[in-house]
This record gives sequence, structure tokens and C-alpha cells, in this order.
Amino acid sequence: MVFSSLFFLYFFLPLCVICYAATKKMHYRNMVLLIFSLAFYAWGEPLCVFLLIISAAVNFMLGLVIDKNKGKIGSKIAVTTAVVFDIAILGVFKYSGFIVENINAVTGLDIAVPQIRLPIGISFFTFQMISYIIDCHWEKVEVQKSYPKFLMYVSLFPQLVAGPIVRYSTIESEISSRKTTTDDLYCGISRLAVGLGKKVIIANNLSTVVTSLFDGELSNISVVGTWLGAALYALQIYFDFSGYSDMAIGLGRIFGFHFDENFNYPFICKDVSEFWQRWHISLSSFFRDYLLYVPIFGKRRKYGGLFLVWFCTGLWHGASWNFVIWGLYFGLFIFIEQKIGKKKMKRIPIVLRHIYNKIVIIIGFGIFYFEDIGRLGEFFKNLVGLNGNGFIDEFTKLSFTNNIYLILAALVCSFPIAKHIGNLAKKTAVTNYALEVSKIAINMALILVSSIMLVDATNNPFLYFRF
Amino acid sequence: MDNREDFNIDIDLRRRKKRRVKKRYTIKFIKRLNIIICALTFVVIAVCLIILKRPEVSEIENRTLAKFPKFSFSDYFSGKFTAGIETFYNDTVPGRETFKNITASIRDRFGLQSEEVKIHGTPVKQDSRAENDTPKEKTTQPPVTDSKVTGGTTVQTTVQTEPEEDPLDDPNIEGEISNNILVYKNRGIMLFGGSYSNGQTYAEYMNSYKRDLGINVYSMVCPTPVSYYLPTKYEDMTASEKDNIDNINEYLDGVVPIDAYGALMEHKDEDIYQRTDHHWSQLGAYYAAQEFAKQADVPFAKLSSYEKVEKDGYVGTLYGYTGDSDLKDNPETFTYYIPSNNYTTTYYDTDMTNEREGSLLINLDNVDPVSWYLVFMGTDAAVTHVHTDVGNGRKLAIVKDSYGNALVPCLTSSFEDIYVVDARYFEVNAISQFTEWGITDLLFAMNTFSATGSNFECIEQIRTQ
Repeated sequence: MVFSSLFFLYFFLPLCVICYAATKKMHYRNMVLLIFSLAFYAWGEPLCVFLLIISAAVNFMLGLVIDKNKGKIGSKIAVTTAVVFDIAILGVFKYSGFIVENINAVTGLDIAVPQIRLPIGISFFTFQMISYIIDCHWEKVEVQKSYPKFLMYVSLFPQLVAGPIVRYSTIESEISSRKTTTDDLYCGISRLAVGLGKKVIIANNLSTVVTSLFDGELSNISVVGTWLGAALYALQIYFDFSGYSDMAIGLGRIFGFHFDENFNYPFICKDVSEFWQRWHISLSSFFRDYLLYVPIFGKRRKYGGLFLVWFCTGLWHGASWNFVIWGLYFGLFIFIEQKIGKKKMKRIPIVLRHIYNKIVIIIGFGIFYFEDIGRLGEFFKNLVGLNGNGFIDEFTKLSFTNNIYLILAALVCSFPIAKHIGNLAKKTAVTNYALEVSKIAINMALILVSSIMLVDATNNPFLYFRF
Repeated sequence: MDNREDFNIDIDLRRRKKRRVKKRYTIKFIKRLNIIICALTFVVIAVCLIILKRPEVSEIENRTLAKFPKFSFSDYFSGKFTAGIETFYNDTVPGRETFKNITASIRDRFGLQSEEVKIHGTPVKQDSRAENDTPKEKTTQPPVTDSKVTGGTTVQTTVQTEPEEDPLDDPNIEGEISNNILVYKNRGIMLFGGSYSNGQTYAEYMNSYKRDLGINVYSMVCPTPVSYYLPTKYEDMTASEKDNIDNINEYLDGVVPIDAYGALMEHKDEDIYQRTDHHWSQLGAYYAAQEFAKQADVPFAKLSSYEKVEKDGYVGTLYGYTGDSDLKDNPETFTYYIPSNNYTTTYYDTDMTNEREGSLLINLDNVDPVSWYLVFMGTDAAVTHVHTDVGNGRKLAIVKDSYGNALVPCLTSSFEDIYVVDARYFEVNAISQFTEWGITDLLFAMNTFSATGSNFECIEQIRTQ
């Protein structure tokens, strides 16, 4: 089930909210959320829901072991066991086919490639459990003593299948005690509407343009067409994923949870390092906080750690070499920026810095798009006109002019223009009233237009579902 | 004095405080109003989706909508059952046609309309003569039922259908329609990829019929609107249908080519194609049939001898595939011609069982406008025999895709017997069946997309099956 489906929005969600609101005690409310979350997951993964339950049970019990052995060797053994277990689960379900394919390719062996279907959201909930268990070991959080509460944290449907990677520490206190205020409901519904609009109105329609440019014969696409396709894909994936994160955060607010932001207008970045401080923040911070802690890297081998992080970031996105290349590609630019140093970077004219990072980002998302290495090679050739197709073609011109307002809207919405207007409007009472009244119209428009467009979008899952 | 000043300040502060409290309450009220309106919207839509009657068919897309799935444990554990419920719920939204039309209008406003051109789908790979020696490959884009490569609306409207099992779906669509459609001046134009190697093979397959049967064999490769209505500016987006037809003709051995391309070119200013459908009109078929009759040296009826029937409000299949409201908002007239001579029509199933009498041109009263092209014989998945009063001893077999359907009424004054088989559905060995019928003339009537792409192998399949 995806958030941007009529079934979720107009059946599952209202039913869940009504049941939640009908219960008053926190214990029952948690039960409602747990049941609906497991049903949500089982809807798409009738068998793998047991993997989720078992995996959560193992981590829960190892959490208890850590609690009983604070500061002792037992805690280290438990945390190591849990991390190995979690990574092994990820390895088996996500990477086994990829690993065997590569072993076969390198050694010439003919080992049967395991055909294991990737359970939805495994990358997200596994990372959440790793963060919990390490935080328990570091005594950053109290160990959760109730399995249903822990399972509810892991399976909480707003963030279960496509993030953000919500740390246990973020919602630790809210698991046992929370309240949905008017502001929570207001912000929650507004974020839900905005996220829905981002996904359905912008991302889905940008996707049509991107696939028209990139899913056909690449050899037909001109230089401008290739750059346009990659740039629009960067926008598409931003609206798709940040739209999902908005919906997740909004749904969380409706139930009284306050998740951290996952995106912070990444395209306003001045350099690539900053881009990653603004893009998929929950993943970047996960690697920063947990992977760089590994003693052989960290501060001692700063650059080794950096490339390890980016190798893992790439691989996390998918079991395919293009994702690894994509991760290392960004790692390389961050490495270069670190070598240049912040002070020298700041001396570069701001226009040049923007041009530089946008080019890097656009090419980066081109790499992200093409899982087939052969097509990725064609993409690179197209970027510099080595396919002999000329600078611009009629198809590209039509694709652009036919969607120019959509593209402009996407650009405007990817910068904090609306946010600034909102802040300005809050300064006087009249404009503040106008702002609040207009928000009603905006929310309604987003919900209605998105819902209408969903009638025409039978199957358009979020891109990050596959990760 | 001091006291009065203090008093004034106090009053002022109180007023400000009151105003602030009032302001806060008003803002809070608007926020609450926002919550209530949004929540009510969700509830009202949710209730409507539950209580309102759900449609079962889509006129625009010409298909039966998803049905509620039957439960089985295997389907449940594979996720098929739950996915089926969701598909049913999303696919059968009450008023879906209206909402789809609104979506199409919204999408129309995503860009500039001044050039009257819109593109739907991906660019086609164009075959070139230089690639003639490469192994045969299907370079014309796959049909719209292939969800992977199809852009936009098409993906969304075809993923859950199973056309083969559904009598309401027009089987004509399968394998013939390109997913790359340019809409220019309210006309849908499918961009053509072509394949010279496939064309060569197609020609060789037809030669095999000539060798096996030793009768008159003709090849009519029917061009599509892209040859006549694509603005010069966009010619680079498509391969040349004429070059692909010429290529096929080059490889014919004893098979007579019928120049439908040239015949239609002379009449390009007439309504030889439907603007909103992927088929030609019967008028277009008539001119092609005229050229065929000339080559086959058979009589041919004047257009004036036909009874002309016009039906307004026709929006063909291309709207369903593009979601382009320019097509929907500009319906056209569907025109067909009823032959005046006497003839009887017999239908068989594709395995030559279930013989029954019928009409060559079916009654369209209960047919959705999008399917009006079905007027010619009603379906592709049948074999048709037309026995006429011509009495010239000439027996024609037409091996065709859906373009061939419109030819049949144009030839009732030319042959004594006309047998029509669809290369995609015929289940009997063609050679033995044609021999049994005593065929004197065999016409292959396929459009360029079929002949060089998705269906070129079908004619060999029915010859050897």
C-alpha cells in the first residue's frame, strides 16, 4: 500500500484515525497503531511481516541483554550480535543475488543466483533497529522494556516503508506519552496535503517527461535532451521522496509523533557537501553517527571513512553497481571539497559554486537513473554529444514546451520561496489572517487535485519503496 | 498627572493584550476550521467511495475495469489478493471518466499550447537501411499493453487489464498501436520506428505463400497518418513508412505489391484517417481497395453506389492512450459506407467452428463511440466469409490486422467470395484452409506497424501451424 493511493487515503487512513480517536488511553492507542501498522505492512508483504516481527523480537531481546549488562562485555557481545544479525538480514534479502552475480562474473563460476524478493522497506526498518541497539549500548536511550511498544516503533506505518529513518531517541518519550494538539493536527494535515501534492501533481508528471526522454532509445536523445532528462529526474526524485517524507511527518504529527525533517531544500546548496546535509538527512546522519564510529575509520582514517560512507550510501540505495558509482561519485566531490577547504571554497564566486554543484547533482542523478551499465555509458556519451545527435532535437523541445509550467512550478517549489512568503505574511495581523485562510484553500486544492489525478494513476509507487 | 499616565499605560497594555489574545484565538479558529474542512473532505470522499455505485467498464479506455479479486490462500500469500483489492478500489472510482477528463485538462495546462503539438510517450528507434543486415529485431515500439516502456497516462490505464480475456476490449489495439503519439492540430499521429530486417522477413513469408499456393498473392502495406500529416519540422522523430514499404516490396518474389501509400497520397486532403483513432477511415480503405482492384483486375464499385452513414461524436482510441483533451474536446464524425449489392455474411470462430450468419456491418446502436471502428465485422477474433452476387469465380482471402477490416465492404462488388482471417488469431493452418476454400487471390493487408514490427511473424505462424 502506498500513501499516494486512494485506498490508503480514503479507506485505511480514515479507519485508522477513527479507531485511534475512539480510544483514549495511551495503551489502547498504541495497540491501534500497532495493529494498523502490521496490517499496513502485511497488506503488501503478507509473509515478510513475520520477518519484521521476528527481526524486531531479536533486537528487542538483545536490547534487554544490553540493559542487563551495562558497561560489561555482555553489552558489547549483544550489540555486535544485533548489528551482525540486522546486516545479515539485509544482506540475504537485499544483496544475495547481487553478490552471487558478481562472484559468478569474477570467478567464472555458475552459482545459482538466489531469487529473493526484496521486502518493502527493509532498508529503513533494519537501520532503525541498528540505531536503537547502538544507542542502547551507548546509553543514549533507555532500553524499551515492552515488546509491543518496541514493535510499534519499528513498524509505525507512517515511516515504515520509505522512511525517514526515525531514531528511537527522537520519539522515545512519545511512545509512552503523547498528545495530539490542535497545532499537531493542523501541521499534520497540511504536511500530508503538501506531500501528496508533491508526489501526485509534480513527481508523477515529471516522471512522464523523464521516462519519455530516458526510457526509449537513448541514441535518439540530443545533448540538451540528456541534460534536461537528468535535471528533471533530480527534481522528480526530490519531489517524490521529500513528498513521501512530508506525508510521513504529517501522519506522525496526526498521531502525536514529531519526526525530524528529512529534507531541507537541498537545491539551494552552495556545494555538494551542503547538498548532502540537506538531502535525505536521516540517512546521512545515520552513517555519520554510526559508521564513522567504527574505530578503524573515524578520525584516524578520515578519507577512508568518507569513501566507506559513500560506498555504503550508494549500496544502500540498491544492489546495483550504478548506485555504488553514484555514492562514490558524490563521495569524490565531497573529498575534493574537503581537500580544498571551507575557506578556499568560500572564496569561489557564489555563481560558480552554484553552477558547479548543480552540474554535479544533475549528472549524479543521471547515474542514479540508469541501472543498466551499458545505458549509463550511453548517457555519458549523450551528455557531451558523442552520440552524434546534435545539440538539441525537436522531441526535447516539445517535451520542454509541453511541460514548461510544470517544470517552473517544480523549480519554484524546490526553493524556499513559499516559506519566505509565509514568514513575511506572519509579520502583520492582516497578512497572517490572509495566510491562514489561504492555507485552507491550498490544502483543499492539493487534496482534491491530487485525488482526482490519482484516479488516473493506478500504479505509481514511490521510488524509495525499492530501497 | 502621574497617576493618569500610569492609568493610560495600563489601559493600553490591557488593550494590546486583549488584541493579542483575540488574534491568537482567531488564528486558532482558522486553523481549526482548516482541520475540520480537510477532515470532512477526507470523510466525505471516503464515504462516497464506499456507497456510490462503482463503474464496471471504461468507455474512454474501452476496457472492463478491475474486478474484486477472488480469495485464495496462494493469492493472499503472494500479495496478489491484497493488490487486487487495491487495484479494484482505485480502478473503479465512481465518476472515473469525469475525473480522468479533468486530469487530462489539468495536464494540458502544464505547458505551452501555442504550437498545437503535444508529444506522448518516448521517441521511437528508427531503423535505417545501414542496419539492414543486422539480425531481425522488433524495433517498432511495443504495444501500449507493455507497461514498462509506455509513458504517462498509458502506463496508468493499462497495467491491470488482461485484454485477451475480455470481450469488451478491442483486440485491434493489441500489437498495432504505437505508444509514441504526437498530437498535432487535434489529430493523433503515431510515430513510426520501422524495421528493414523485419520488413524483409515479412516479404519472404509472403513469398512462401506464393510458392505454396501458386495463386495471385498481393501485399498491401497500409500507411498510417504519420506519412501524411506529420509537420515537416518533426519528420526527424519518425522513420519513413514509404521507405519501409519500398523495402518490403523489394524482397517480394511473385507477390504483387499494392501501392496503398500512393493511392492515399492522392487523397490526403480528404478524411482518409480518423483523427482520434489509430485506424484509417473506410474512405482511406476504399482508395487503397481501388488500387488493389486495379491490380487484381476485378470490378470495383463507385463510392456513390454506397449508402453513406455518418455518426457524430466519435472520439477514438487515441484519447484513451494519450489522455489528451484536445482529442476528447474535438470529436469527429465516424463515417462508413454500406455496399449496395447483395451478399451474405457468415462468421466462424478462429478454429473454424461455430458457423453462424451475421451482418458484415454490425449495428452500432449499443456500441460505445470509442469502438465504432468495430462496425466492420464486429471483432478481429473471428473468421468471416462474405458470399456476393458478383459471380466472377474469383475467391479472395484477406490476411489482415484490423486495418484490413475496413477493406472488406469495399470489395463486395469485386469478388464472388471473400474470406477474412486475422493473422493474430487464426488457429487453423492457412495453406490447407485456403486450398479447401479454393482461393484464387490472396491479399495481405497489414499496416506498417504490423508488417515491420509486432505482427510480422503472425503470417508465418498461421502458415506453419
